Amino acid sequence: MSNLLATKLRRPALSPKRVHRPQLIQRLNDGLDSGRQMTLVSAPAGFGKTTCISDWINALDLPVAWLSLDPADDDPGRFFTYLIAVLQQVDANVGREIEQVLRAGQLPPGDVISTTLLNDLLVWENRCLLILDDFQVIQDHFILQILEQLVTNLPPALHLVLLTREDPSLPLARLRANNQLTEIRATDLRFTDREADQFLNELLGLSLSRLDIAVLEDRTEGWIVGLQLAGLSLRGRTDSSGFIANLSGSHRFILSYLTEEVLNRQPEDIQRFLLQTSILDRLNGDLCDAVTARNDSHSLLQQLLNANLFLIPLDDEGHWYRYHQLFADLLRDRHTTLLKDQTAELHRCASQWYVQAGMVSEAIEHALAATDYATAVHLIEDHAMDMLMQWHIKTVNGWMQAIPADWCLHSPRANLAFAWLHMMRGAYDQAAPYLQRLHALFSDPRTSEETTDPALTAKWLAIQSMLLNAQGKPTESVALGSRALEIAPEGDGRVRSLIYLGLANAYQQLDDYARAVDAFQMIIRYGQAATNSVSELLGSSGLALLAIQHGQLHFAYDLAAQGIERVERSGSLPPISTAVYGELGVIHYQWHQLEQAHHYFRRAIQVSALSGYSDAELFYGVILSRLFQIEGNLEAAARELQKAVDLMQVVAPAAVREEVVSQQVRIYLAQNRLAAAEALLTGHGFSFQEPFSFPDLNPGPQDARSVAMLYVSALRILLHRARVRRELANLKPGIELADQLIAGALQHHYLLFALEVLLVRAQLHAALGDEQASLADCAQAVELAEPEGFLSVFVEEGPSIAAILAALLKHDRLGAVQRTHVEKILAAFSGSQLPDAEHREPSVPPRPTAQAGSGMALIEPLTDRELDVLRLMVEGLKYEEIAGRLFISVNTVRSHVKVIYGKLEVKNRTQAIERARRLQLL
Amino acid sequence: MDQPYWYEIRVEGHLAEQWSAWFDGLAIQTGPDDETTLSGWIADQSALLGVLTRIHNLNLILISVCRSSPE
Repeated sequence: MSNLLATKLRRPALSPKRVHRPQLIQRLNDGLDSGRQMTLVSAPAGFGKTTCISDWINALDLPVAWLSLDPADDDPGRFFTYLIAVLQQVDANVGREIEQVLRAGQLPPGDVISTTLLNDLLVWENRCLLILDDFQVIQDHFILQILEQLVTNLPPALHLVLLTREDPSLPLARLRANNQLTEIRATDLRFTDREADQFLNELLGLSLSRLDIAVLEDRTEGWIVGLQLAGLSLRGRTDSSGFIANLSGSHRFILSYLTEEVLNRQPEDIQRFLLQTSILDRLNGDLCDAVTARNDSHSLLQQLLNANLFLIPLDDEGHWYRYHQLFADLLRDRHTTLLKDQTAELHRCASQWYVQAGMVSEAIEHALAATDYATAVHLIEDHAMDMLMQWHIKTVNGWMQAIPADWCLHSPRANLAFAWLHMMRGAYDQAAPYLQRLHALFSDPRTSEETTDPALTAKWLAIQSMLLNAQGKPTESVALGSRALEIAPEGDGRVRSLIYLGLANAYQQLDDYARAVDAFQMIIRYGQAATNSVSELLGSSGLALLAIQHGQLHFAYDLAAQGIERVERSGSLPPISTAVYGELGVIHYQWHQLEQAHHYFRRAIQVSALSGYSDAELFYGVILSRLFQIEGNLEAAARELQKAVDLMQVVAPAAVREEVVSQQVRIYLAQNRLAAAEALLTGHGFSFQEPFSFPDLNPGPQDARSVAMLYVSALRILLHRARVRRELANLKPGIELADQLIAGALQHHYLLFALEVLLVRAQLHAALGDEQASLADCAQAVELAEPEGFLSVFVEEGPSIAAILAALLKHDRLGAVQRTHVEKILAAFSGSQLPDAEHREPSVPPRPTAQAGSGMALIEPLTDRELDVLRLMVEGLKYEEIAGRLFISVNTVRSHVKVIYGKLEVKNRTQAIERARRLQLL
Repeated sequence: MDQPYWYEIRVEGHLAEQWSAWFDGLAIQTGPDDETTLSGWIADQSALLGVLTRIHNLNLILISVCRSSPE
């Protein structure tokens, strides 16, 4: 799906067999050189519009944004999403704000879109071409109105090229009058005798006389598709002149006539192949095999391509093709006449193939075309999770409308699908009607046999367990999730990974790291087993995020990097990959590899632009803001954060809220706006008036960590007041609060958070003049940070932490800390003031080795279950035997072993045993 | 306004009868000259535009469009 999507945003492949048309190119260049703002190429199908323009731009040394439009793009939300995406290939900053709103499922007012886009485009200094191909599909009034405003005020740097079969409803007359329009029309595009000669004799390999060519040219009126069909009909004929003379004497519609000629001259099996595959919008070898029950479609397609049979490659790799629009129309016409009784079956085969290929949208479209509603609903429901990741609600609604209403009302599957789609986005109010219907359907045993289907019942339980998570009831959620696991069929990986997703979330809320890791590992494993890369990536991404919070940067890096590598190799780009790119960005940020971090955040934003997944955008707003702040660009940091704050009005995922507030406080304090910072926290129950009071540090378990962030923000305010106003009175209670936060964070292994609070406490001590305590905090932070290479958490704190670190070196208060580690952190401080000073190739910092870590206790202690497994490993038992002893599955043993290796920082059993002995774990 | 009317659409060239399904079931008659007439009930203006677009997409040359009473 996504690689097909990418073909929309990219200029078409240039065929090596094409007629060069210097006169046309000259006219196009003249228009561009004389500063005209727009080129209109208007002619019916088959006049070589696309070929001509791609040939032209191929020789131009200008950036080009090429958007190939489909009928489905005649929808403002979709059109502007693509338009912005394609413009961002030239300049990533264009239309960012509109994009955010669009992504939240809203359409900004028309004049806002046009003004914002124009403002973004006005700053362009270098010329760029925006090409909209197949523009005739755009009929929507709203889109045309905005384009009219754009066309009327086109910025000098942008040259707009429209390729269309009919003149667009835009003020062309005004552009013509102002000499701002280059027009290429059918009469300009038709082949001259010379071009027809080159085309037929050189490219199609015929040897026609000059006279024959002239007759053909006359009869087809230079229409390229007509000439091509004529050329194909002439292949292998001995009396070409006779055929041509006959053709010129006939009044028959030349396209229909020639198509029949061409088809009839193909061997029967090729004819059948063409007619059967005409139901497909896009073709590839495997798909055609499935539809036609052949096994040689790949070479057949290659053969059609070589024979110029109107097959257009959609990518450079030769995977996907489509038929030329006209040829496809003609084939479909013949198909309806000859193969009508096969049509539904062919669509069903196509649908099945797309299911196998994991391209659900296409599978659903074909199932609907086959009027196979049961399959369509089944697919929508089964793939709801993936479809959410490629959130096109209008498309989904369109599908649901194609299904008779009765089906939707009484189908547990359809309701599960919709409930799930809305819930995954956090839109619980929109999910409510579907949930109510589900309650009714599942509590009334008469309604349908489906409600007794264990897979569906399990899914219903899984959905309810997620509801409980959202309500902050993780214990109850675990109970339902466990019941769902008992019911769900062993082999149904899709349902089981859904259940594990709920469990993973619940265990996270319960601070049960090991079980949450287990649950994510199960999702990954089921995804791998089903070769469902989206599901696998969802698991990897959740696990990587968890690992980052717990300070296991290398483990997280491996997960994310492997996930991305697989995605990039597969050629498709599921929107969930945006989260994984973001995680790579965060890891590089923590390693203080800021260039790399920028790169991955840009990539994450790019990917999410295509998907409409706005929670991610909010999250990156915060982290980008921190990135700019650490680089010393406070203005950009404030700007990015403002975007996140604005977005929070539209979508408000609960977990990110405190992240936003905490970064806002940092920025305000950096801007010396103490009152604004205090006001933010006052809303959360903090009071900075005398007597100064904090709310009780006794939050519910489910959001302990995010609420704790607010306390750190309050501590930062105390620190600021101590520094700026010399108010020292409240520092002592502040330090006590920090003690509690650090103890809590270390207990639950939130390493990153523990580091941050340690460094804040070091500064609080320093403000009170307690240098010894301050040095000790810093030393502890260095010791904890070193194995996984955390650097930015120090640099973020600025010069005061640099001073303490320098003092550590100077007074030789290093204790267990190695001098080189402190020096490395200090080097990062100087690096961040000069971000571009040196351009080192960033690399993954050395991971903790057995030697390096051997002297230290584990950051992440083993759980009791992991210790059980480890003991049996020491006894030399095989996984199967361990599984038998502990009454767990072999897979669970494997996942424990993986976690054990990770925690012990080893690669194999021998190392694990050795390390465990040295640490006296056994 | 949006009610079915009988239309006659003339295009250049001879179009075979098999194209009828393509044009919403309009009857296809080849005339004495180098012409074809498509005729039949067309539901409303949108349907009419659809037929005209299909004519254009096949690069047929349009001669005339007439609304008349069926005889």
